[in-house]
Amino acid sequence: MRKLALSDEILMSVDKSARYIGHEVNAIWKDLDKIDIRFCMCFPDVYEVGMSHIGIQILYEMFNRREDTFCERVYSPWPDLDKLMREHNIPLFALESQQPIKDFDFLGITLQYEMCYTNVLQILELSQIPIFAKERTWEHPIVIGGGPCTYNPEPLADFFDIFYIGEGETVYDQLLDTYKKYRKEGRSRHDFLVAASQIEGLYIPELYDVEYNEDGTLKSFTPREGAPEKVKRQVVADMSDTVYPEKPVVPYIRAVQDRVALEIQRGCIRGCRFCQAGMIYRPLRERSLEFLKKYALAMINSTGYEEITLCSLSSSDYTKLAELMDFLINEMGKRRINISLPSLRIDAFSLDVMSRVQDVRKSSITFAPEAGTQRMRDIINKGLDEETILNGASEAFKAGWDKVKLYFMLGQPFELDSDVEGIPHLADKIAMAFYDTVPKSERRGKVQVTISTSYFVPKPFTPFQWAAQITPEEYLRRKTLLMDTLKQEHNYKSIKYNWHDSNTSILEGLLARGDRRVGRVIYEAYKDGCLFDAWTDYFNMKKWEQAIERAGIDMDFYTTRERSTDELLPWDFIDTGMTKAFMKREYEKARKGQTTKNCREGCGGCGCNSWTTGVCIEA
Amino acid sequence: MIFRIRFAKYGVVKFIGHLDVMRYFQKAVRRSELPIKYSQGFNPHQLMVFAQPLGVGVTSDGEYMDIETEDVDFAGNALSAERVREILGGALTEGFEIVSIRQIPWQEGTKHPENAMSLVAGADYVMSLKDGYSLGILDSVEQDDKISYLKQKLESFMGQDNIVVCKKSKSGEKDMDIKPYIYEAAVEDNSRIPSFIDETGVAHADVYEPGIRFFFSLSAGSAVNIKPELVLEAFLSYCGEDFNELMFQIHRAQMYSDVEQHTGL
Ligand code: SF4
Ligand code: SF4
Repeated sequence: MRKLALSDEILMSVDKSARYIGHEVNAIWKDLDKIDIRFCMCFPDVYEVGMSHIGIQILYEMFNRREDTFCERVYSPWPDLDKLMREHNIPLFALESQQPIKDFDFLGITLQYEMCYTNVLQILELSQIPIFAKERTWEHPIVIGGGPCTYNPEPLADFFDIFYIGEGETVYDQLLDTYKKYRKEGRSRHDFLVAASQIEGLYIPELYDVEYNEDGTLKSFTPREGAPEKVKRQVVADMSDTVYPEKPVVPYIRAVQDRVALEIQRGCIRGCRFCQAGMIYRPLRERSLEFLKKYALAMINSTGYEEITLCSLSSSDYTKLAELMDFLINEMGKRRINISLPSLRIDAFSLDVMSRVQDVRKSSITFAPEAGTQRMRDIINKGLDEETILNGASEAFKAGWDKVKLYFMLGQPFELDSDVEGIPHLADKIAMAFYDTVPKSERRGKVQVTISTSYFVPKPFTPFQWAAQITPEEYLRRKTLLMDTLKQEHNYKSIKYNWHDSNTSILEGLLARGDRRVGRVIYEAYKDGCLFDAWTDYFNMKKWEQAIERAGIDMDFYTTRERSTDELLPWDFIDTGMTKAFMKREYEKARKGQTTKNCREGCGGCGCNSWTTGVCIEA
Repeated sequence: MIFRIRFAKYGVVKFIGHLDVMRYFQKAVRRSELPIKYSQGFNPHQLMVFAQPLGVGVTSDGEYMDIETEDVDFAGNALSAERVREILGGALTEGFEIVSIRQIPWQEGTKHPENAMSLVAGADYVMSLKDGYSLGILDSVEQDDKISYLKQKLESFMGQDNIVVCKKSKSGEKDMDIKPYIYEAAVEDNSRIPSFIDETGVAHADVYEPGIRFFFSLSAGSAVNIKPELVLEAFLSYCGEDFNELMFQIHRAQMYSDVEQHTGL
């Protein structure tokens, strides 16, 4: 057992001290004398959230398969510990060895959502690593960012040495080998970064010069010292011949995802125009049945979890889902392991599967139409029509369900008031379908329909990347319109309405489509005490507004301004495989309310077939 | 079949709370393929009962749990205490260890024997002064005389007619005479443990530099549960010294069903 970095006194005075002690089941330990590279993998949020992320577990497994590398983990210290670490000048440490991260070779930080950006600066500062990349020397680890937010890394450009664009499974070996070579040869840190820029998928922000026009838009984005003009997204070609954890680390305390996660496929065929995940993980690539069976059993046996969940963007599109479910229901049944199934399209098949794995009376069925009218659903290319929703709901009601959750977005491009009003209308029709389908004698009470709306944030690498985000005032107006309309509905007593906070979404909008200058806002906000912004209790809009003011940033320029499709965008240097022409075409089609087929019905010509894998080459 | 398992919890896992320890063992059982029995119903749970929760920060050599299993393992071999030890022991990680295990005589179909939780009547504790702390009352006492000085004090403390403390509970605070519930009390240096505690009970107790360890045998369980901190606080305040929970590492050495006979669960 290793000595802990924190004293008993500190551990006894903070909440959930088990977050900081490491030593979990399946945590890896290596002899520090026998390794060359120490890598610390960070999820910049609290332990219970970070431990729920499958991507980290994949990379943890991948790095640790290398004999010369020891990969450890770190998560954001909760504010109670943050305060004590500063008071006692304790450097942030990795969970496995309990040793300071500042002595590591690499600190890899996954960027899953914009609202964790201040936590990134906390990790750096508590680690006693200079926050600004330009102040770092060989004394400090190489700080590398990955994850979906790197599709516009610019607001964080000043804080990172390298960004890894794309899926982590591909070029890390090359990076580590280069690192070893350069260290051994005694080369400079800068030389190493220049060499790293030659590895496909790696973006070294300090090697690019940025110039702006007078109107604030980007004028030029120029590589130096041989860095490539375009950084190519990394894609795993064969999802059944790649690393996956057989022994995921099992936390002592309950994580948000307290179960085995089986990623059945990556990518999505659907092409909803608002959806960044659906665009940046193209093409859809399935894992083979054999692969999934093997890992499902291995992970259950090595962890002792009592639940397994399938993860993917749209599980219903997995072609061998029926076979996989038969296998799981059989094998997990024997072991009394529960199966949970998120993101299924509601139809006869999924209802049958769901009724076999969960308690119908307690669970609810979920639809994500994202828009209330067919007009609007065509604009966003959500291939889901009212008939399908109502039929699915009726089938579910017949099978015994009486709770329905509906997810929508307000503020997508070209939305009219009538589209907003369509949301409660649709909810009402669903409630009506319940009363039409289920005879009084069989009802256990009222049907419960819950509408949730979020505030649309346009994201890079989607056809809506040029669109204006609506103002918070406008979001609130539409929310009120929705509520007022709801009160008029026949079944309004059966319908509940939840909405998402408007402040976080507008900030998310700024960070998602910001350029390098926005980094100042993050820094100012952090220095003023902003931390854990994804947590409602900690989010402080006032401080962010002051930070924006101090940084001299015009919020509207980044959020509510519609960009011309000719504008040079801060993330244009990334080549995701999807062409700009495709995105423009999709934006135009949205304007006209025209739909595009999903990848299985017919290739939409997005450009990702250049990867020659997955759905693009399905027979 | 019912097995009663005595286990130790030590080292860094002392920071894991009781509910998480339960979840830990549930997972360990599933990893181990121990043929545990499950309750009926839509959400069956493992038939596993813990004797008594252990506070966060406390180590132990005397934790107990009962498990109810099938008669044979998955390979069809008859289960025995030794087999259970092998199967489950192999799935435990550092910080958790099976100390001993025995089968509780029981004929399936007859009434269940009393479980570990309802049997607890007493517990032994070791409280060690941690590194970096000292007791003010010992400042003017020679190093070699410290233990005997504390022994004297403890003797006169225990010689009182009653020891009244303010006991906090969910329903409020009330004064209580805890003397009848302190069965034994002793103080020793690191080289000795008093006769009422056996070696097994301190196998995983951390040893600290000051070399001052208090030992208490106290009433425990659902009737009257006396926390060792309460006793030590009363003693120190009797000596005119402030008590601070962080000064001492608490270790539970053993739990008893019959305090007089000193029979473990
Ligand atoms: S179905 Fe649409 S919203 Fe869902 S992941 Fe695919 S593209 Fe995104
Ligand atoms: S190239 Fe065609 S099939 Fe492949 S991801 Fe793009 S739209 Fe889909």
